[in-house]
Amino acid sequence: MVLLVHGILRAEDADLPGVGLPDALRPRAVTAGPVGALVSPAPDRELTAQDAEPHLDLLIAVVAAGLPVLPVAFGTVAPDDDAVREEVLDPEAGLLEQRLAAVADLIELRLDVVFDTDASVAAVRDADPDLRRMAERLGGPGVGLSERLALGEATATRVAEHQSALVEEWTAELEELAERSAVLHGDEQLRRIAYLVRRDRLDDADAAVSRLQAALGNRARIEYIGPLPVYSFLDDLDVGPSPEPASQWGW
Amino acid sequence: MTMTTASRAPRPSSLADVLDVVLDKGIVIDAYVRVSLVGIELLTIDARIVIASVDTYLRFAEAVNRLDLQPSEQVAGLPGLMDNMREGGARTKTKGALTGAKESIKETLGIGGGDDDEDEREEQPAERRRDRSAPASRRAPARG
Repeated sequence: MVLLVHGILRAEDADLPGVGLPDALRPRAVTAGPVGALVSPAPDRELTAQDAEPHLDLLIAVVAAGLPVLPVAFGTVAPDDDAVREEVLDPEAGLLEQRLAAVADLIELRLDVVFDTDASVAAVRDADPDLRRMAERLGGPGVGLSERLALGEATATRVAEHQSALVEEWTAELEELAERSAVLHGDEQLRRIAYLVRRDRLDDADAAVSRLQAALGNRARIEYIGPLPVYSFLDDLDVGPSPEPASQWGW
Repeated sequence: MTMTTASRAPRPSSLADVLDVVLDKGIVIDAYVRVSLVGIELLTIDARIVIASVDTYLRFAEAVNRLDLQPSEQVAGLPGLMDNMREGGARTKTKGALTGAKESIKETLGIGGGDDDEDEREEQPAERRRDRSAPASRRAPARG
């Protein structure tokens, strides 16, 4: 039976203790040595976008149960249990085990800062006499599209600087309590930042976001997601021989 | 919106954002077990990004227009921009937003796994990206 491979977990967690399973999947673990793969029967058709939701829900449920898990790229399939063992688990068992140990106490949180463009434009206009002069010159005769675009571009540049400064200010507390962070997306509307956070600091992160929410006013709104598997930090995990969490993430 | 409670959601609510989380993210098994997704998902995402980018541009153009202090300009400004955009001439203005979105979707999808059509579509924003480093002098020499 063809299998979807969702994630890698410790063999000792193969029974998925405490995991609230999504209805759409019938997951189980295929183990080999110290590690296991979280698999489910593949549908008898090509995968669609809708299949991404139970895949992610399952991984999130594992994280929520307090178990370490390494997410496997959505769309990964294997022909049978033996292929999972031979192709996925056995070749990298040691590395997978180390990585699982490295993520054991960590989760990923994501923060979307969605700016109100009008508020940003108003702020830079009020703060920048040059910008106002450029706007005034547009009132003269023979002024065309290129001047207009120049104003738009100057505004866009200043808005980007303004928003960067705000994000830095607003997220200082989260940056402080997170082990690491990564900017996943940034444009004049949306900044998406991922934070690698210790499980025992989740409450602190929630409190920091609450304070942030109160400070935003009409300048922006936020969306706050998690805990997720540590998707954004898989490449940089410290898989050293002595995974002491307190010192491992010290930078 | 409540001002005192952090409303943390377990995962993104929209399917597009769920795909943004899981597509080509996570451990990639370098073996025959890996299959790529069918094209329809890629098209779905592409359409979402283009629509979102155009929307961003329109809202931004409107906001810039309000900087005009002369009332008459408020009449001429936005329609002029929009006419130009319909003709395709304003692509230079929209490229920032489009490029940003495309760049991000390229990262999401991982370039090189798609079919020929995908590759062709994704090359274009990469070229625009190179343009972007010196747009000010090219578009508006008078700006200084």
